Amino acid sequence: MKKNQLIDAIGLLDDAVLAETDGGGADGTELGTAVVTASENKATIKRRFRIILVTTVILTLIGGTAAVASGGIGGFLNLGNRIKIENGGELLQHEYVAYGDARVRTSSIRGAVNKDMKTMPKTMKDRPLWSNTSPNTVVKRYEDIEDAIDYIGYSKLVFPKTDYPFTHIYTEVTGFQKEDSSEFKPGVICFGATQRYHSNPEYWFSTSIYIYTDSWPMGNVGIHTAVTDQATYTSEERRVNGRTFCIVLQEDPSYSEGHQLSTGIFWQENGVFYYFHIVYPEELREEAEKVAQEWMESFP
Amino acid sequence: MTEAEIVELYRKRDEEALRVTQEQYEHYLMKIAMQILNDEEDAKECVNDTYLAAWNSIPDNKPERLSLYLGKIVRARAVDRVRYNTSEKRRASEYTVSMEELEEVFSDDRSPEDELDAAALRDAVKGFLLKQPAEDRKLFLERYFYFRPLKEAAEQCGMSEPKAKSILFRMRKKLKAHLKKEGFTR
Repeated sequence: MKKNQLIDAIGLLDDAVLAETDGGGADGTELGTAVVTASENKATIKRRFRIILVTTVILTLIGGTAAVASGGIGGFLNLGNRIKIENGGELLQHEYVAYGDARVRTSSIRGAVNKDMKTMPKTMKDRPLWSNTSPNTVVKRYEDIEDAIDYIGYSKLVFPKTDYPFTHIYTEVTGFQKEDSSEFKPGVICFGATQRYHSNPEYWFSTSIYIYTDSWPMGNVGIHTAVTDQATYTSEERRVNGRTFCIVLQEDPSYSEGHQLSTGIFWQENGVFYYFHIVYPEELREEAEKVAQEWMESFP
Repeated sequence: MTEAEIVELYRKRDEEALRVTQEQYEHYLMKIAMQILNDEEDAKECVNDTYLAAWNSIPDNKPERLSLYLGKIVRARAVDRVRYNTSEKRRASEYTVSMEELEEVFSDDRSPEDELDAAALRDAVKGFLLKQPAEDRKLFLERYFYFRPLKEAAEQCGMSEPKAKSILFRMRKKLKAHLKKEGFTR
């Protein structure tokens, strides 16, 4: 605890002290020896399909100069970006970007989240920017999925309900200021839950839901994933109850035993991005496929 | 483009600011994040959080040194992330190695209720650093602010790795004594 505070205190040192250094390589030196290798990525197994929405949107805005492939699937444009890693291998990032502007009107968000936005200017003002939390982000945990839906208050938001027990329900809302306004509005709303589908707690699936409002400054939005160059990565479209889902199957031998298979499913409706992710061992492949199918069928 | 010009783009809410920031500072920010996280995916996310934080904050702030401003943000984001990650599974990175080194300075000998004043601690660390020779101070910051690997921090300061190790060892001892004198450790 206290050594953490020492690390924090060093992080708060003012520019006059830090200016003596060369800025840690601010001149644009190459990545150092700490560059991760594909095999080291095993530690990130549970987050290998981490959704990096902020990343995605900013990269979309900036433009991916290393794009190597593109194609459409479901309601998404699939952009591929290769990232070189130290051992000579590559990470292949997939960005699933919605066609057109998928943001919803800020005024359509009517839940208690708006009350939290009102306290944000003070939070932003009072906290040093480099504190270890984002002052413009509000994170909340819930026992009941309905409470999370109520908190957001978007009438077109649904949650694909399956019978598996919840282990974690949360919302994470990032507020944004419109130009010439001191007022914060919900800009990116993340709403997610994890559910256990097997007695082994290592195996669970997650539902991650994202809403971008027109308070978010950029138009194109989407979902961002990354895999190593060792992954076998296939995608397909599947039509379930009138909806066409984008399904991505991945097998990556660089990940640890029991976590080499995963399935991601993408869906976008009424300005809401839905993302399902499940990791499973070979012996649970059928079980995982069943869970994925139930998830798609559970949309009301 | 100069730092001041980039800051001006932020203040004008010109999205070109983000493109230029990425172009000029991506390697620098990724390097800081990678040294702490040792995970490219997490590091990338922290760097993009940093762009976002800069976009949101610079209308209100006018950093004199944009690189340091961004560096502080990405460091804080990465430290936050590594703490979250290591609560699940310890991962070897320069952050964890540095933490082990700093443990001898600031061991957990207080109760959780014994909360320290962050600003007072920062001032105490700053006071200590300002009394150190400039070369040692730079080495300390390369190692514990930027979490550079020891060898690289030594190279940055134009000294051998054993010498850097020895200087840091002595500095940690002196910092411990300084913090004890200032009432931060027992």
